[in-house]
Amino acid sequence: MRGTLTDCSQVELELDAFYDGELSPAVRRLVEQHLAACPECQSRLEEIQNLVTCLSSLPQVQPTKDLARSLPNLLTQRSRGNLVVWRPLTWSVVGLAAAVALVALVFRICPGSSLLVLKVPGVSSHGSQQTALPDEQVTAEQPVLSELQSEGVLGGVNESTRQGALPLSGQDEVAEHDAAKLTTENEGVSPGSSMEVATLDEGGHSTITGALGLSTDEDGLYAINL
Amino acid sequence: MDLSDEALIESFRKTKDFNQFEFLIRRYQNRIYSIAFRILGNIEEAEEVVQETYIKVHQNLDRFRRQSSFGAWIFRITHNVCVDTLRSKRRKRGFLFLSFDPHSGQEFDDYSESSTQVVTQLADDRPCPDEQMDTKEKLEMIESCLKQLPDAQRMVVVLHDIEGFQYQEIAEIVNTSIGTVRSRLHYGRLKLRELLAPYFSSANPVSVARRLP
Repeated sequence: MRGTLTDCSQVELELDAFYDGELSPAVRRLVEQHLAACPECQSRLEEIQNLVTCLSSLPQVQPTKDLARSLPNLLTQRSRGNLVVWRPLTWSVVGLAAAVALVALVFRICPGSSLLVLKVPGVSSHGSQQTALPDEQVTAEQPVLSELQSEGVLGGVNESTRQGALPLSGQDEVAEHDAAKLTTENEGVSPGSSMEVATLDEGGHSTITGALGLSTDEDGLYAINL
Repeated sequence: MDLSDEALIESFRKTKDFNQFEFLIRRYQNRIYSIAFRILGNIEEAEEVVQETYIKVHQNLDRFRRQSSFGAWIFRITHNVCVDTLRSKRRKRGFLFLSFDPHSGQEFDDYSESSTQVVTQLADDRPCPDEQMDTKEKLEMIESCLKQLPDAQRMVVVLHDIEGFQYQEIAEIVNTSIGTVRSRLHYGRLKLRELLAPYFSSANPVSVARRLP
């Protein structure tokens, strides 16, 4: 350590440890010598003393209950994987949730469906909308062969809807079955430009027998088999 | 029952009598809670810290090798649980401020939001608050200012000035050097003095009997 402590800024760094009795005897003597001749550092030491007095006078706090007594229950719950103590979400979970939310904004996922429809921004839509809704008219009594017909006219689409298959309809309809359906108003599609065939069985499982994977039309309407 | 901590641990290891373990950890309950409450400023979170500390002690008791006292070990676990809780709180708030403490040589989280409030308080030109505040208000002000310290500094200030640990004990609890403890305590107190300067005259600190740790 330095032989003398003449600089107040140096002494100030030692004052807390000086007050706490944590300085070596040699440094302590140096600080004492400085304090004897420096009113400013004496004042700082007094401030430290007052602060520590304030802090140590804070009221004692106690838990509202005997937490040790509840430990056996906690350990039992913990061993069952039923955590009582709150656990923060990890960033990976948060990131995954954000990704899902982002995808949900872009895509509209058909509930209970294996088909997903998205509209790509910037592509001419001619007022068309994409919805992916279940169809209550679908019966589950027997496997349903559905044909997604893009005939360029809405009438053709509604005809498909009445058949209870994969209707091209903008109307929201409630489904009772977990069947895959792809519904859209697709006025701008040229006749025969896109055709997909799916079979729906009683369990609601669908099998695309026509164009699988990604298909597009001139409206920028995409059908993706998940 | 006046068995030492080590004797209770040994007995619990042999007999698996949970009452002995319960007796052991109950000795530290109030101090663990007090530390957690001063660090986190929240009753529910402080109680959760106590519970989580108990669970970790129970799960890791076999790893306790007496290289330090059981007390230092359990408070070190408490410190770690508090740090985890502070981090998760920060994540819950949706942002994370990381700043570098040039005096401690270690990164810690900071509250820039609080710093702004401090500036506002210091600029307050109303009549001397010292004359208006009663003891309760002063204590609340101290606790409020304590919350504005960076986590690492607040931890050391709480452990030393409120809980009465020595530098060496704090160094073990927070797993750092004595020099770092000294530095954090110095700068933590310095900031507290600045924060409290408008509220307390040096001649009139809060006059409440000092509580022994």
